[in-house]
Amino acid sequence: MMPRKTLTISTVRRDEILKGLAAGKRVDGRGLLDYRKIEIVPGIIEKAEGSALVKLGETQVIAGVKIGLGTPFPDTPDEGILIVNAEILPIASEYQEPGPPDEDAIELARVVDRGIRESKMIDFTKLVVSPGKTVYTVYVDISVLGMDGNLFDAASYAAVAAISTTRFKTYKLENGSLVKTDEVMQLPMVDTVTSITAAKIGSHIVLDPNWEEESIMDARLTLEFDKEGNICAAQKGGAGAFTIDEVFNIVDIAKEKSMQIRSILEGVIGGAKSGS
Amino acid sequence: MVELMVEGKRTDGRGPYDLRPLKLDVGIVKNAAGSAYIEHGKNKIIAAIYGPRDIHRYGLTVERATIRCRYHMSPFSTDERKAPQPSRREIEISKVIRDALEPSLLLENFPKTSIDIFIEVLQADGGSRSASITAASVALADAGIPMRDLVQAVAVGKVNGTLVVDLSDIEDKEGEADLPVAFMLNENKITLLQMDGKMTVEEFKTAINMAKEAAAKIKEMQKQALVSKYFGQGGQTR
Amino acid sequence: MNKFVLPGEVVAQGSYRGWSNLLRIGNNYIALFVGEVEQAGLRLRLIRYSGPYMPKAGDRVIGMVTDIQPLSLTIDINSYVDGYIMANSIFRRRIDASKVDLSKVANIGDLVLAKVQLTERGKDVLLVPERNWKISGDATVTISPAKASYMLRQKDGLLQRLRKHVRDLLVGANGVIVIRGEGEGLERVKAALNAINMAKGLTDIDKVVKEVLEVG
Repeated sequence: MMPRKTLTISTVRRDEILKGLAAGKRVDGRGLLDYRKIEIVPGIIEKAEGSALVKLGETQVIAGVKIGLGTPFPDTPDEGILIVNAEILPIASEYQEPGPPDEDAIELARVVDRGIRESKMIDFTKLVVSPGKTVYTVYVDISVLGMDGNLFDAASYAAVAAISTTRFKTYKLENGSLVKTDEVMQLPMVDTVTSITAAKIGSHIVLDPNWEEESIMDARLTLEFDKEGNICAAQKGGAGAFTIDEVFNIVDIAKEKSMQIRSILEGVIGGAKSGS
Repeated sequence: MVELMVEGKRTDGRGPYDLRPLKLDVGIVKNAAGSAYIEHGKNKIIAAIYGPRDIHRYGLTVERATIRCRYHMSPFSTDERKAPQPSRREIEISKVIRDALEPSLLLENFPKTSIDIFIEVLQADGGSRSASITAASVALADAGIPMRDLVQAVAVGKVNGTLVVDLSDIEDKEGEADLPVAFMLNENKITLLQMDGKMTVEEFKTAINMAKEAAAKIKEMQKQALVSKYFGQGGQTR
Repeated sequence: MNKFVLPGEVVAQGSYRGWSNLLRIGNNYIALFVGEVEQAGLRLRLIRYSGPYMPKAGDRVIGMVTDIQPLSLTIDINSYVDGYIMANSIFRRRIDASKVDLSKVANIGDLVLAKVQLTERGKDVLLVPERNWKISGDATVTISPAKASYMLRQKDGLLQRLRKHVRDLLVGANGVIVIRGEGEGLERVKAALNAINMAKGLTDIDKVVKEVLEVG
């Protein structure tokens, strides 16, 4: 079997998918706007300050948060730092070679980063140890363990759940030097950004595309919403294009869906926090 | 010196011959030819197998399948964040794991192909290479790669002068010696052997025998994991 | 009843005339795979429960066209080697290379039905197309090769039972299955095949198929 860069499906399978969509049904039994079952397990990595495993069907993503100290950026001397990194691990699919993050992984990290940053879900002004000199650095590392499409949403949910349940030991300045204390702090959360991804396949719009659907889609659109329903990040992908009307339609559908997904996310986060 | 042995009990309450809790699941990555997940102590590790697959690659052995192995630690797997790119330690461990598993495999049926063993350490504890070998061998069986025996590994070490099996993180770091060993028990063979620290020759021999006994227990758990995936309720292996 | 075995287990001792998927060390016959062992007289056979499709001359497989060359098609046969179909076996005559264009008869992604003619160690597998070699269908499912060959072995009609619900059901020895049919019957067969995919080993296949087909 020749290695191919991405999944290729047979014409029989493609026609099966298209015929199903025309009848309002997807190959895994879902309706066009349904998500797969979302499973979120926060706190799965005890050694990380925050972590979560997300399963979106057979797509599996784990996010871990580590807290470090850093020097603030000159333009934001009084704010903590966010660093998001993603890897699509070679265990995830036969098309993934080991090595440094490729363009897909880098795009993934950057889109997740943008959602977290632009929604202002973390109050970075509260992550300062010594103004202008030392701030907390929030490292969010995302590892894709299993590939079955819609990595953007799965990675975002994992990152958001991990960040929102992070607990870490604080530092303080004592006689000019930094000392780790026993005081435990949570990240100062003010929102829960919620990512929704749509794919255009022929004339159909579906949400939460699986891998086979992505392999025949024309284009993909990820939108991220804050709690007030504002769009705070967007990313179009794929070799095709959307009509303007299609984009408007997706925005409306996605906004409504984001409320449903948000309540799942907030339920898990709230449960994890009260349980700890 | 750190007190690692008090009245015959180790820091986590175990006796010298006791293993840490061990859990194995087979077949957890859908796209892989075979996979396994192990929790051993605080280790949480996934092993996935891809192949045999035709990879036109310079330097690939023609007569038999080539084994590639990657042992990788997630950035969040350790107390201090680990940089994502592979360290020299990870590259060495990848190699010794490959050398530990390869003797168990019959690769002549798959010339000009590669069999890839990908190991991801989601959370690291003492003995992560041993746990990786134990999981990867089960994943290889799940992938249906012909195998003469399951391979399993465990470390024996010396703490406060006493030989103990299955070192924990602190015993590994603070103890006097660490000796991970992998076995093919049917043929009484060793496929991985490393050591750092100091032991007498007598201690070294005793340690290997202790490792062998512990490996036999681990092998039973490997078999149990495969039985519960493949044989359902009717499945009895003997 | 056959004996369930795991890699490394001693399956039998003594002296046998023939054995497959087993390793003989001295008088011991060692299992190389997860599976079950069938004994017939002095012959031992381990039926694998997992592993890649191992092409065998005479097998009928369903593959996907992944590349089109001037005189042959490359076929993904769900194995560790590719298959190929020569142009002359498609046109059933000698071919003048300057006068054929295989891209007129096949597209990448097409499913094809073919027989394994020749397997040579380390080489791609020579396939010969069946008379109606290009397959159309309403659905396709891939199951493990071990389960596919189990289904093909069952003479008592596992396949017949499934076929009652659809117009046609093609099972490749390599695990690729194509269904022609529609409506409720198609859904049932798809559900049954998915249940086969989920079933543990081979022992539960008959049971799960029965359960799915008898519902409602």
